[in-house]
Amino acid sequence: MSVYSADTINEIDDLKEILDSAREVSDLIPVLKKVQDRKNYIPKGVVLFLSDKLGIPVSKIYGVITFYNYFNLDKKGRFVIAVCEGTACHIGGSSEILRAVKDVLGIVPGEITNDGKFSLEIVRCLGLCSFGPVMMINENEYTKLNYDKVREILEGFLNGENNN
Amino acid sequence: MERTIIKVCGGSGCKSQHSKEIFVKLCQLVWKESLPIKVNRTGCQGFCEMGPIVVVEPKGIFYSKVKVDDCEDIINAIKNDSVVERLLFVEHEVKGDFKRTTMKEIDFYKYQTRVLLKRCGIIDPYKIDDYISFDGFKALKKVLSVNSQNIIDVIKDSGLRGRGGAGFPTGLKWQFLKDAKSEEKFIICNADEGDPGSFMDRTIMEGDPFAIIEGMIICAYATGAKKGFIYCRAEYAESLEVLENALSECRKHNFLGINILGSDFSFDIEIKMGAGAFVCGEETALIRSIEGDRGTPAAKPPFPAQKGLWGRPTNINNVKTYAYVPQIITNGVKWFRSFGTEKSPGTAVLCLTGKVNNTGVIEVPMGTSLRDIVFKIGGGIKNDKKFKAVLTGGPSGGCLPKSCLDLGVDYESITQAGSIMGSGGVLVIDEDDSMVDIADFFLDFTISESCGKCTPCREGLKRMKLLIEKIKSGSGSEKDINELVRLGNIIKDSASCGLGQTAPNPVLTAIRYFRSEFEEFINKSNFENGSFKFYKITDKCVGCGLCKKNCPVGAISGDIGQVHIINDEKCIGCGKCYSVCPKSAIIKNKLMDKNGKDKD
Amino acid sequence: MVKIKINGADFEVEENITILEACKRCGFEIPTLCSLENIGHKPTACRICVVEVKGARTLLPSCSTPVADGMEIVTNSKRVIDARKLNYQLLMASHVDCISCKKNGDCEFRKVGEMLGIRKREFEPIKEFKIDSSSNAYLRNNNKCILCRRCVEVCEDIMGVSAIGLKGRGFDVKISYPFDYDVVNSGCIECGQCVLNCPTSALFENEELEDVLKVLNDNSKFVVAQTAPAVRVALGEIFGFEPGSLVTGKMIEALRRIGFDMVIDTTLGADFTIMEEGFEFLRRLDSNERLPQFTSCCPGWVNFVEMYYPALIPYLSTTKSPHQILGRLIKNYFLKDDERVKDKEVIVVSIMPCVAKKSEKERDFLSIEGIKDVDFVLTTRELGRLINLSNIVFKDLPDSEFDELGRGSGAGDIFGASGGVMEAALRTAYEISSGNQLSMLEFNQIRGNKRVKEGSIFLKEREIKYLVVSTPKEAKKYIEEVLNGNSPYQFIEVMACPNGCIGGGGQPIPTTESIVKKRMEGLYFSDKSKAIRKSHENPIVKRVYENFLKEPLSEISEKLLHTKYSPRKLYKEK
Repeated sequence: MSVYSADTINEIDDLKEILDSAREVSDLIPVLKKVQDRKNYIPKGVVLFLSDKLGIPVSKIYGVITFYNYFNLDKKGRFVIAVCEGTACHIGGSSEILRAVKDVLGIVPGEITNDGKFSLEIVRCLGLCSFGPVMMINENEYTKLNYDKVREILEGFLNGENNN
Repeated sequence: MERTIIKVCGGSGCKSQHSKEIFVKLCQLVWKESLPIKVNRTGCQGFCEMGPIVVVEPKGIFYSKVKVDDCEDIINAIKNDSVVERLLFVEHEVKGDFKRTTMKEIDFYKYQTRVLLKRCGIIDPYKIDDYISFDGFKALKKVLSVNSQNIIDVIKDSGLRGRGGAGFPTGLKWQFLKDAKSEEKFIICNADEGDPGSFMDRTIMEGDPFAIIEGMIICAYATGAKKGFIYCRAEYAESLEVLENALSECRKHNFLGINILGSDFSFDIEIKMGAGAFVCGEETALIRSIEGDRGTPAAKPPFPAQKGLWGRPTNINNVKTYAYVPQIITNGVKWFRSFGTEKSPGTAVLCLTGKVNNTGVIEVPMGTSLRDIVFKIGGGIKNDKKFKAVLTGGPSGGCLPKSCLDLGVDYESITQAGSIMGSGGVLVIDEDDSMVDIADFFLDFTISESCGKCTPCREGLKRMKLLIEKIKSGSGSEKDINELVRLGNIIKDSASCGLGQTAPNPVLTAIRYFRSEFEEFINKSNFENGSFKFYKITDKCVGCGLCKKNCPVGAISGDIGQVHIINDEKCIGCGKCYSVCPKSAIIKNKLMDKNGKDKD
Repeated sequence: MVKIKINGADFEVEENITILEACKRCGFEIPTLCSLENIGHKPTACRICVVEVKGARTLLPSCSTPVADGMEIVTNSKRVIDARKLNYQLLMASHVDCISCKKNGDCEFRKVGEMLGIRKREFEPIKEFKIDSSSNAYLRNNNKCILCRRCVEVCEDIMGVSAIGLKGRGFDVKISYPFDYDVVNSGCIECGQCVLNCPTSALFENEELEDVLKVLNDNSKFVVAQTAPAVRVALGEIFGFEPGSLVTGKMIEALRRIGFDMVIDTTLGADFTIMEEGFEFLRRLDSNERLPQFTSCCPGWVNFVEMYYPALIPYLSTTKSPHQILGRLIKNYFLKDDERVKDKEVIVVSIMPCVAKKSEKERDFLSIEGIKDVDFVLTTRELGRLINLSNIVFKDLPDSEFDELGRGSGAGDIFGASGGVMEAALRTAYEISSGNQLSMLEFNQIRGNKRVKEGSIFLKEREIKYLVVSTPKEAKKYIEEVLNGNSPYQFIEVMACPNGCIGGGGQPIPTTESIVKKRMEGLYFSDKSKAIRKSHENPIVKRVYENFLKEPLSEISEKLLHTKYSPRKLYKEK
């Protein structure tokens, strides 16, 4: 029904196996889950494709994805770096953190590394103002940061020290 | 001589503490020396806090917090017929001999009545033969020759009530499904356990999966369903693995599939995963979720027994409810009713957490007093603090104070006191905990887990949250406490589903039993030294200027050598000044969040 | 029948009806904000309709709970009223600013507030949404939304479009277009059925009243009003007339008093549509190409095709919709050398039962050399507001007639009802192709309020099967048939709104199935009372073809009266 863009087709191609397993409406959530597990997010193209294949309106699939905690629509890396931009951290030098991330990984907020390993986002106050500047990588908090410290942490990740 | 068996707990808790590696190591050691020892992995033994747990049978020697490096010592001890002293469990008692060698001696187990959990931690959940040798599928074989109505009558007579929380008579529910006229009927096992800090269902799924399946098969046979579903949280990876294996084992042995055990009864079970939504524990929401839709609860009637999954009559029971069924069939109504109270027969499987010495999954007869649970099984309050309250039923439950300690744990008594049984969470709260904070915490949980459909739950809970915040900030009044009660009561009365109808409970009971804690915030809105928002610089200040230099928003003024002042208008409460002050001259408003909060 | 008690009094009511319905039949009106009986929508979301039922643990929603024998219902206890009031206040907490609201007397939310005696706001709003004004048809203002989900239900269940849905959950749940797209970039066909059913002004037509007032007060403008047939049978409802009352004369008089320089009838445009579309059909029949031909006068339907079934575009008639044709002819022919418009700019204002027409007039191929066919579109509801604004007492107005140059046939009248376009086209196509007079003008098999109607007729020595459908939901099946090459039909009329324009998104609120039925009767009555009931017999039509257009599908007709369609990509990258 809908006309796909080139991007969409690329997004779908490497998920072919998973998407082929979608046969009926009740397959929607299991299939979305497999996509989420594989890609760490649900690409828009998947939504359009499943809408067509299962005959479920795009708006409904969107409703399902946004209902369950398990899914997200934004592309995220395996490691999500969240830099606090609350007032205290901002003044304390969160821009230095962002600079360090850019220097090491080459990404700015909202971006993801080419290998899909890291993505960077800015978050609102994490409530750790006394320890700022602060960032989180997945569930772990890193406090009292500066440019060199961030470099060190990220390089640790790149060298596989923290990959678990 | 009886053969020595080492049982290594493979429940999720112990697994996260590397019990798998311990299992492998023990196997290697036994194999290397060709010892006459069997190493078994078992399901959850309930005492997760002490994990990884290793039990050496036949003596029942109980080792806790075992590490891979301890394995050799354990083997050596068996060879020497001794015990590894340092791995023994130590009871939290003030006097007397408090080291425990065997499981039976430990208070946590001693005071329990393990009926539903009798196989958990004993059998290997991956082996159907273990289950069979332990009375497994006896009940199924028995029912296949019996008229289906007789089975329902047994369940009815037993007085078994739904263990999911609401306590609806199970037999009646089955009768509805049996009586529903439809070509197709479904049964569902609700394993969407989502209360923060509760994992009773997980314990059973990972410890005794075949009992659940057997219960479901019996239900299907009695009600005429041909297809069953287990709806389990996706986060329960271990449970899902155990269940998948159990199902395929059952199919291999023809306990599931076509013409089960040569009868003309056919039935199969499929696992469906939840995708992270607490509200899907509500049965109509669960159905929507299996269908692939948003998990929004629907109005009842129509009840699932009339119009359930894909519009077909459907029966939904909790994991524990199904797991009870085989034992009731095998041992009879009289046996079942020998536990518990007249109206709430049987046992209660609870998850004991919070500020008690022993935490974990426990089982007691219905009607057991909260006092026994907290002080006998739980071993009393941690660090000799004073008991303040227990919260039963998780985010839908309520806080019960000291005066309720002698209340028996059963549906009626708990409800009467303003809480609910719920799925079985028991959170113990000590004198250090603020009831306002706890109420606030659970409210946060229900707000984020509300489906957002009906007005009272969606908007009302948020307004309750705002009132609590107002009270906590010190700007509340007595009127706000009354307003919380008004909102809470109307939300309970007019919300659409169980989530909304119970969500105000933690707040309402906190006010009912601990109103003074709320009032304290109001009366103490101004701190001893006069009013201030987040931080105040006291006379101890030597005027070094470090705070002024470090303040990110320029809220601090003062000359070198003089006492500095914080401008409350500008202060964002970040706490930088507090952390840099070399003289500890800065004090924090007690009412503030732990680290202060930047509200931009 | 079952025996029940309501507030202590005994009643006997039918089985299997809801408490709400039972109370209504027994003389108790229970307020409700989310349920919409018309479409069987009862999400039990608002919790305004709760009642006490003896034996029940909590209050129960009366809209979904069925009555049972011996049931004791209390609708007016303090417990019930307190709950309703609080829930109302909670809804109002996410609903801003009543005073400046455009919904005025149509606001159900306010009516319920009135009923509950709400005098002041208890909770200050804490949510804030951006108003989506991307569409020319309507605005979505989530700051007014009370999450009744009617729009979602209507869009899915009645229209079969499902352009909108829910996003998120809990306190953050909101009505949203997928991926947070704005209206124009979403899959919305702008039919406005959601607007019609919204109990607040969260969905509201893109009002053009201000602009119209401006041109009316500008002496350099010559302002022409044209009115669609479905307006004349519905406008009266706003002023207390029975549904379906034909108020053509008063409507024309009102427009004149408001200050329009000329008032003409869109049915004349419809007559031209029939001529062009009819000839187009006959031509396709001759060549046996691009059949079945689909009608194209409904902009909601055209949007649907462009968005969801672009492969169907060749089958659409290229003829413009009636008001666009009439607007173009007014500007390029009727008033071209008129003394009255010397040194003035001609402005055409269409009064339509439709919100999609507001967007239609902005389409690329509906203006020539920068001059639009139609400048402004007002809905029936907006006309009502304009009449009030002009201090006109509608019910006391004398009747007036359309300007002489702008009168249409009875065939044009019935355009407003589903099946009308087909009937009008067949009247003309049959008579022109056969040279015979129809013995009976009424095509009864395609009248009435069914969503799908069909019939057959002999044209050019072959049996022609025709189909009439309203709502895209019902049309889908037949579209698939066409695209699969196995459609038995040669001519298909589709209207987006249920029952056609009389049930349009710009019509008075409420618009229910029974009200629409009466409007339909009004239109057929209007047709029947006209002397000229066939488009090709309208003397104005004849004259224009003779003097200007030459013949249907001539070069000049193609240029002025036909349009183009293009596929539209859904959810393209932002």
